This record gives sequence, C-alpha cells and structure tokens, in this order.
Amino acid sequence: MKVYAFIIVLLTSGCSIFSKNTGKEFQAVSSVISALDDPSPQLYTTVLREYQEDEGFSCKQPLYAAYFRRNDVVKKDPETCREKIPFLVQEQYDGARVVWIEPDRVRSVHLLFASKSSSMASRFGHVALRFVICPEPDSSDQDCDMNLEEHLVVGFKAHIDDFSLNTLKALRGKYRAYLFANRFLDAYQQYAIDEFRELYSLPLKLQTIERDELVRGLSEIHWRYSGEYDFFTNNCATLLESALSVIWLEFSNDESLRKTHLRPDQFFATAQESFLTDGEKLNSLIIAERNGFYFSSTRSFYDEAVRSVLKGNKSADFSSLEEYLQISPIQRRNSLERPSHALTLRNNVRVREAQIMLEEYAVLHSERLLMTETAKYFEQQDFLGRTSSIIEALDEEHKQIFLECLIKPLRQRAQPPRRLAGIPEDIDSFADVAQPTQACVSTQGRRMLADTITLIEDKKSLSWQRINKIAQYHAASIDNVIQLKEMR
Amino acid sequence: MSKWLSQCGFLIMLGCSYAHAESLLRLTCADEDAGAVVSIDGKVIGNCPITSFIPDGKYQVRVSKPLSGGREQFFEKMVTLSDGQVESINVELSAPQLTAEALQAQSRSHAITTLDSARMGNRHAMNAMAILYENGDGVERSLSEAKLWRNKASAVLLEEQESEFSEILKMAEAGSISAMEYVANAYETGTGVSKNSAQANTWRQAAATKIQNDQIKAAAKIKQAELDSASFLSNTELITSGMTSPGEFISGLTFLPVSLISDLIASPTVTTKQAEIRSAAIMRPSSWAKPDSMIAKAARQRDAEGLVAKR
Repeated sequence: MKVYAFIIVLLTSGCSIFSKNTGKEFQAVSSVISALDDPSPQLYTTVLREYQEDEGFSCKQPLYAAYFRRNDVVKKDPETCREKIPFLVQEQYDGARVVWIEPDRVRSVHLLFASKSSSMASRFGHVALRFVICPEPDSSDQDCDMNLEEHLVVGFKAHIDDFSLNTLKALRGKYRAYLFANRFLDAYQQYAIDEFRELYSLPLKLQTIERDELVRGLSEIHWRYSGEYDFFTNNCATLLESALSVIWLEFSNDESLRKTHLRPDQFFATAQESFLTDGEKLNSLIIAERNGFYFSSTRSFYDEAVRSVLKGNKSADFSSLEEYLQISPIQRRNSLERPSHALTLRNNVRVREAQIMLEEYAVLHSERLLMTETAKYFEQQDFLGRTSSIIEALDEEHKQIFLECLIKPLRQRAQPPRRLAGIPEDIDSFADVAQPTQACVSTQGRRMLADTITLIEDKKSLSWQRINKIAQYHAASIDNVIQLKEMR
Repeated sequence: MSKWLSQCGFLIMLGCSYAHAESLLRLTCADEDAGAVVSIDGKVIGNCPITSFIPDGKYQVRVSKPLSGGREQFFEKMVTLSDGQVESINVELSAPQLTAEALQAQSRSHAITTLDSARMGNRHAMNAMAILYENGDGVERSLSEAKLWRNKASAVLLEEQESEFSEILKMAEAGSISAMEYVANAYETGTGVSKNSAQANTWRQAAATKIQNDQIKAAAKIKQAELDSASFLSNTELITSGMTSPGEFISGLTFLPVSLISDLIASPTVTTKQAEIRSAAIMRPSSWAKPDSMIAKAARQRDAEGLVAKR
C-alpha cells in the first residue's frame, strides 16, 4: 500500500522522476538489458518497485540497481550477493553447461578482436570480451595467464535457429542476438584453427570494483538480453559498445569510444589508442604472443608442418594441407607405416609432432563437417515432425533415450535460449537448460541412442551416407593420431 | 620171369646197401617235368624220376629244368640220409626264374648303365654306384670305390642346395613370404648355406612382419572399398567442402554432442579419446611452431599437471 501511495504521489506531483536525462540513461540501460529502445514509464515504475521490494534485486539485476544508485535511489538494506556468478557456456561440440565465476578470480578483462576473413559476415572481424580467470584469487599473473582452460569469452552473436545459416535471413536481421559465453580455447580453435584468423587480446584498465561490476553486468545481459542481430547496425561491435557504456561508466569518458563504431575492426582500433586500455601490449606482436595478448593464425604453422613432413617422407603424395586432407586416412596410415617414413617418425620428434598436427587437423576438420552434415540430415528427416510415429516403433527404454537425448536437444536448438528475469541464483533456475543428463552421456546411454538411430536411420538418404562416410574418415583419422602417439 | 629178376635185383641191392651203409633216395616229378636234371651237391646224377642209393650223410639236392631265355625252373632241398632209410621226395619245381649266370649278366649290365650316368654327374646314379660297390652287385665288391662315389654324390648335392638357396634368397628379398620362411629354415639347418641362427631369426621376423603388413593392407583395402562405395561422393569432394557458419554466428547444434554420430561408426575407445585428442590438437600447432607462445606454455603446464595427476 505504501508503495502504491508513493507512486501515485510521484505521478500526481507533476514532478516526474522520469526526467529527460534519467530517461535517456534508463533507456540505455533497458536497451542493453532487454533490447527495449523505448521503455515506457510503466516499466520504470515496475522496475523501481522491484528494486525497492525485492531483497535480492541488486544481485539479480545489477545494472538497474546501479542505475538507481547513481540516481540517488538507495535501498534501505544493502544486499550481500552470492560470490559466484553464473554463465551458460556453449561448448564446441558437447552442449552447454553452467559455469560459476567468482569475480575475485577474474584477474583482467580484455577486448578480444578476431581479424577479418573472406566470409561476408567476417569482413570486418569480430569483437568480444575475454575473462582472464585465475586458478585461485591470489594466483600469480603468470599462472592466471596460463590458465587458458578456464578463460571465457563473452560476446554478442547471432543465433542460428535453423539447421544451417540462411544468409538472406541474416542480412535481413531475422536472427536473434544474444550475449553468448564460450570457452576461450573453443574461441581460439574456431578463429585461429578453423578459420585461420588472428586473435588480439587488449587488456582494459579496470579498477577491482569496476571489474566486479563488469562481470556481474555482463552476466545479467547474458541471461536477459534478446535482440535482433543486424550486420550493419546491431552487430557485435555496436552491442558491445552499448553494453560497456552502461556497465563501465569510464568507457563513456573517452570521447573516441563514445561514438558508435559500426565495424568491429574500427572499434578495436579506436580502443587500442584509448587511455582506457593497455594498447602498448600489442606494440610488438612477438612479445604479445609470448604474453598471451596475441594469438597467430595457425595457417602458417600447418604449412610449415607440411614442409617438415615432406622432408622426412620423400615419397609423399601431397604438397599442401588441403591435399593432405584429400588423401583417405587409410592411405595416410599406410604411408605412416612405410619403413623409411616410420623410422623417421620414430627418430625425429619434430617431424613426428608435425605429422600428428596434420592428422589432428584432419580430425578437427572432419568433426566440423560431421556436425554440418548431421544438421542437414536432421533437417531433411524432420525428426521433430515425425516424433510420434518414430516412437511407436520403439520399446520403452529406447523411447526414453530417444526423447531425452535427441528430441529434447533438437527442440531446444529450435527454440531461442530461455530468457530469465535476472541473474539466476540457484541450480533450479537452469532446469530446462540444455545440459546432457547422465543417461545421455553414459556409455550405455550412448550405445542405446546409437542403436535407436540405427533403427530409424534412412539408409537410402544421401545425407546419411555422407554422414557415415565422414564419420568413418573421422574415426580412421583418430586411429592414425593414436598410432602416431604410440610411436613415441 | 623178368618181374622175378627185378625183385631179386632189388633184394640184392638192399642186401648190398645194408652191407655198405647207404640209404635210398627216391625222387619223383610231375609228368611235364620228367627229364629235369637231378644234382646232389652240384654233381649231376641223372634225370627225374630217379631212385639212387646214396651213402649216409647230408646232401643238397637240386632238380632243375632249363627253359629258354636264360631261365629255369628248379627245386632245392637239404636231405639227411641215414640208417639205410628210404627218402622219397615229390619234386615241385619253382616258377621260371633267371639262372645264376643270367642274373650275373644282368647285374653287370645294370652296373655299366649306372656308371655311365654317374660319370655324367647324376647324383642319384653316384649313390647307386656306391651301393653296387658295397654289395658287389654287378661289379667287384670294393668299399673304397663305394666311398669315392658317396663323396662325389655329396659334393653334387651341396652344389644343388647352394644354387637353390641363391634362387630362393632372391625371391625372399623380393618379398615372398614362403621364400623368407625357406631361407630362415635353410639358415637354421645349414642347408645350402652355412648355419647362422641370427640370420634365421632375421628372416623369420621379416616373414612375420610381411604377413602382418599384408593383413593390414588387405584390411585397409576392404575399408577403402567401403569408403568409396557411395559413387556419388568422392573423397575429394567430401573433404574440401567446408563449414558454412563463421565465428560471428553460433549454431544451436552445440546442444548436440558430436559423439551422437561418432558412436554409430567408431568403437567406444575411439570416441572416448576424442575429447583428449581435440584438446591436444588445439594447442599443438602453437606449441610446435611457437614454443614460447602463451598457448605453448599453457600446454606444457597442462601436460605437467596431467603427469602429476597420474602419479
């Protein structure tokens, strides 16, 4: 009652708290959180009420809470938030899992730039943020830098809700944009290995409290934001700039950064010159690579590996990485077993490592192909549309596995990531998040799912045959890697 | 009257035999063998049938009927005559056989033929000559000649074995598994080559390796045939087709583990190693090409931690 009275008084007093300036600021915050470019006064009052009444508001909605604090709307009782902040991390090929981050362990936040590629969508590169996460809060800087397995990348990306990218749809802005979280090493694989692009990692000059607020603010956007991705006006650069402007107030103090950069490469170049970043870390790329601020494209490494292997294998029938991939893994295996080449591989560590590199590249490449072809197959087979008829032919056990481990993830794939009202605080909030259950990842479960797919596969389908072929290529390449490693 | 006279004569003979210690030997033959020559200890005494008083003692009785072509039919028996007894023998002649002279002539002829063959280098003839000389068969018995011919045969055998070994060694070197096994045995037994157990082991190992490689190749051929069975798609087309979504997009298929499809094709061992291989594959290029890069340092630390964890 008291609150309603308060609101009525405000509205009838002629003194609107929703002034022009705060209106703009609230608009900016709302835009970043919920993609609302023109929030209504009703939203303002709703959020304000929540801020006043909800005990956990500041923890769940730190951006709005910060906004209200800046505008002198202070809560009576300060809140103590949970130490750990969740992000739903997309793994390269193993689904998604919730990772809880302690801001204490985030030593620094970098602006990450992936250089351009020949793809139309990547003409101007890509920007995101990188969390340099330490093993422990008091770990040395070096240990933090080397802890790459835990580093995360958060960035705005378009979510393909089809089985494959529809370029026209992308150009028309019909894909949704979200702030995704990925493992740094997955991002490294995608850019530096899969796409042969360079990565530049530019540290932001943040105070400890700013770092804490940045991590929390990004988490809120991660769980709440859903917008339209547009190549030209609502892309990774513009969205990130907006987010940084709202979360990190210092960001707006740099005039050069304040203006909107439509292109990621321009945004990054400007940021590199700003007093808000440690641009000198990238003055020498050689030193930067040593210290984890620059990551080369691996293309030249693979070319060098090819040359190295050719030196030790005079009768090789390839002269480039692409030609190497074209040779069937069984033929490649026969070549590895040729006495002269096998002797070289046993005795020359460098050549052997180069050979392993090439085989591992074949594994990675065929893995990506497998996912692409599987997507096409699922699209054609319309498992989702035919679920009822398929499960009629299955016994209870196989039916459960089929629904849990295949249909459920496929359905979730088709749906956008569920948006929450703020940063979730407990595991129950993630009940419907696509995380593979134990039944699906256990050996028995996997075997049963494979059996089920064998029962319903369309052997005549060209897609299915293609998938089998790639899977055989993939498995045989793995065999080659295992054999090469046993040569040590 | 004549019958009375022969009986008297018989009685007189009997009387005389008693008087001089002789026994009576009576030999009878079949009608068609009548006239066969009867010999006692090599001395001809008459023709069959014959009855004769012979002083007591032991005798070799021989009855022979000559035939054409150096052959004869004969009968031989040792008889012991004593106390004036009568020894009656019903002679049955043998099947036609060569006479002793004919046999000897035959042996001599065989020895001459064999000698010619041996002199031309026939190892088996050489061995045969040795036997003839040992037995005095068609030649005069001579142990020294026999030894001579045995030695010659051995020398020829060694030459033949060495030649065979050389031929088969070439085949082994060209990759024939059976030849490799032959060569291994030859080294082991010293056949056609000096005994050498090290060489024998080497060739056995080579044969085993070749068998294994041939099996691997055969399996690979079958696997390759399976891979190529879809005529619509060659390896080239398959592998050079690339990804469609660059890094500015994220596919919802990350909800699906890659093991979903891999499990259909690969063994569980392979699929469980995927994550391990992927992890190493991501860091290896930088580790290899830029060993002082941050990626390389992180990889080394990860490996060190992995080793510590194992311990």
